Amino acid sequence: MSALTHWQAQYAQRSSGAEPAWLRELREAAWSGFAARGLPGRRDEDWKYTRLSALERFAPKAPLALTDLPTIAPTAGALLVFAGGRLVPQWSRLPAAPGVEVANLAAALAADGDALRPRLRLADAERPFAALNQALFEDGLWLRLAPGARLAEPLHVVHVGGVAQSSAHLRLLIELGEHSEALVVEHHLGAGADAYHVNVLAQATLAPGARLRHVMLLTHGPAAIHIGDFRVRVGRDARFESHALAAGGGLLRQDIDVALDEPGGECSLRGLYTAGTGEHVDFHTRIEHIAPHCRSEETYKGLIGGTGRAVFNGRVHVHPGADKTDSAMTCANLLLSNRAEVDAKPELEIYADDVKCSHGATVGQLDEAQVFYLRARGIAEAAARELLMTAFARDALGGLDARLQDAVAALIDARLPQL
Amino acid sequence: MPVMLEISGLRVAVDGKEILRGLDLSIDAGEVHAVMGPNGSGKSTLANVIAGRDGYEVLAGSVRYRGQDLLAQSPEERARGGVFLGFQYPVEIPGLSTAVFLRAAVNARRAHRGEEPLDAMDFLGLVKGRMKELGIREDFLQRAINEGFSGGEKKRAEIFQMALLEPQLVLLDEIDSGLDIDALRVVSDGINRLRAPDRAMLLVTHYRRLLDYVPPDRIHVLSEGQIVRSGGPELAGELEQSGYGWLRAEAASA
Repeated sequence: MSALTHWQAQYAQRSSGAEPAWLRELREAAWSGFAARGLPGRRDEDWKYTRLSALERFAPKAPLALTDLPTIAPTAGALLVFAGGRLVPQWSRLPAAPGVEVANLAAALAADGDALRPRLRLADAERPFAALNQALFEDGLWLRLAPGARLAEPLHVVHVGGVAQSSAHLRLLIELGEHSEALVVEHHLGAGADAYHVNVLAQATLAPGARLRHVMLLTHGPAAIHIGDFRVRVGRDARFESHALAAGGGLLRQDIDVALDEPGGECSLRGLYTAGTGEHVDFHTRIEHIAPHCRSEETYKGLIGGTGRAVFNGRVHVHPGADKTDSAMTCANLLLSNRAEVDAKPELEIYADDVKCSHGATVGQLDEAQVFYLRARGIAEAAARELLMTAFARDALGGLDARLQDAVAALIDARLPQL
Repeated sequence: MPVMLEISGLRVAVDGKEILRGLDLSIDAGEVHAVMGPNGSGKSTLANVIAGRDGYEVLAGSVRYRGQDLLAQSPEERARGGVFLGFQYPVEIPGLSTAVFLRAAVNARRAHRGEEPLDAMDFLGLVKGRMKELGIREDFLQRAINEGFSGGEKKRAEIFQMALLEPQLVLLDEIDSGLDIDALRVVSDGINRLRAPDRAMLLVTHYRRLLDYVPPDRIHVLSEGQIVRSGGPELAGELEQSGYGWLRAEAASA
């Protein structure tokens, strides 16, 4: 069975469910759009360097049972654990807090589906995997903060792939009221070495003065196929901060789209992507400077070893009238072997006059002058190289919330020997 | 006094070009020697080849340190054994904290001497006092190695590392370049504090200025890869008077 026939079967099963008519219509429209266009191919500019043959070949296997949870194990705050796109209630907890509405999406739809109707709507000509998600998602996150509300502890969304269903579609909806604040950790991991597929679509809106910090951790199994799409609209004087870590997976593709819609909005995107032998990682980020007086900064780093392959496409688009835009982007890559490969492409498009924009991308190897400096202080060559890789990697995740620093550093440290 | 460093007939090429052309030099424990000479005479090559930097091809000769064949050792083995190179241009390493780096370096040296590694607390106790002596800022340990440091701060940090590692053979490659007079004084005091009967030092410098603060036992003049003159501290004064121009004159008449 191919992926397409698998999804076809998933869709047939879905449409027989007891869902509101409006949602069935949304799914139908999305499915027919997806089915008409199929998977993106090499002529699609957005997928130029990333082949989906692994997904075309993908043969769903009997999913594993969920027995263990190798996560960064938060001890406080809300925790939603999903396996194969479905909630695992016994591992999840949803503490009540004033001004905070948090639930799994299936429950929120069952309780007050009509309220979610406008939020689930997608554009007609959607990206293929977003359309697929619309047609097939079963569950996900619904988070809404009232004006002025604040999540005291980070909210963790953990998704385990390869369990319950071998192709899973997860939907995340985040809505922050004026001057509210949230820190959301989205951790994707997987069980076993078999291939599985995860397709995530996340949509966040930030009302004026709101602040969303988002931490995305991808620590998949070696044959996992992860397609993620994170979209955020940043309102007046609101701020979006993203930290992304790609640390394992056969084929990882993550899109991050930020719309700076109103004056004074800010975003900061930081990330570290890694790929070892047999792995492919692709980050596409797009920052739309629509309103004047907005700021964006982006720092991505890549560590690619073995026969690993990485793609970084960072687009900054300054629209007409977006004067006083202040934007800086850098992408630095270290190739750890002579068979590793990276395509790093900053894209700057500016249609306003009074702006400050910079961008740069580098690809290189460890600096031998740095290696010698450490060796000249008695540090063995292998240890020196490891220290320098760690330094390079950790530098990418500066500004991370202190409560998460140790756990994320441990994920990075565990990853480096695999490259 | 035992011989600390013994170099004989050393010939070294860089990119196929011979830079050191038969160099002999011997330094006893307890002594401070200075190697002076014009740009391109091979001063930095000498310091780097003793420390084991890549890219230097030894064509002939030997370098013995406390009786061992230094050229057979990796840079880290040399460092653990007590050889310290103070860099002319210390590198910046963003993302690597000075504390992590220094503790790794100190413990590598301790392991070589058969001593227990220092834990974070003991290490902190050791470094705090030394930092004060050299006027090093409080946040130094948390900062990334040399990142954003001024030229003077970098050189002070080199001297600080030297003090921590307690080397037996100190090589300082133009430690005085880029220093204003106050920084030069601090750096010189740091060097002088480490003068000891069981330690030898080799100062590589272009200028006499450093030698006013750190009076050497011997001065060697290097020209075109060979030591053309050696003498006592008074040689610095002569060089100040006549510059390096006489070297060319002498070479031409030879």
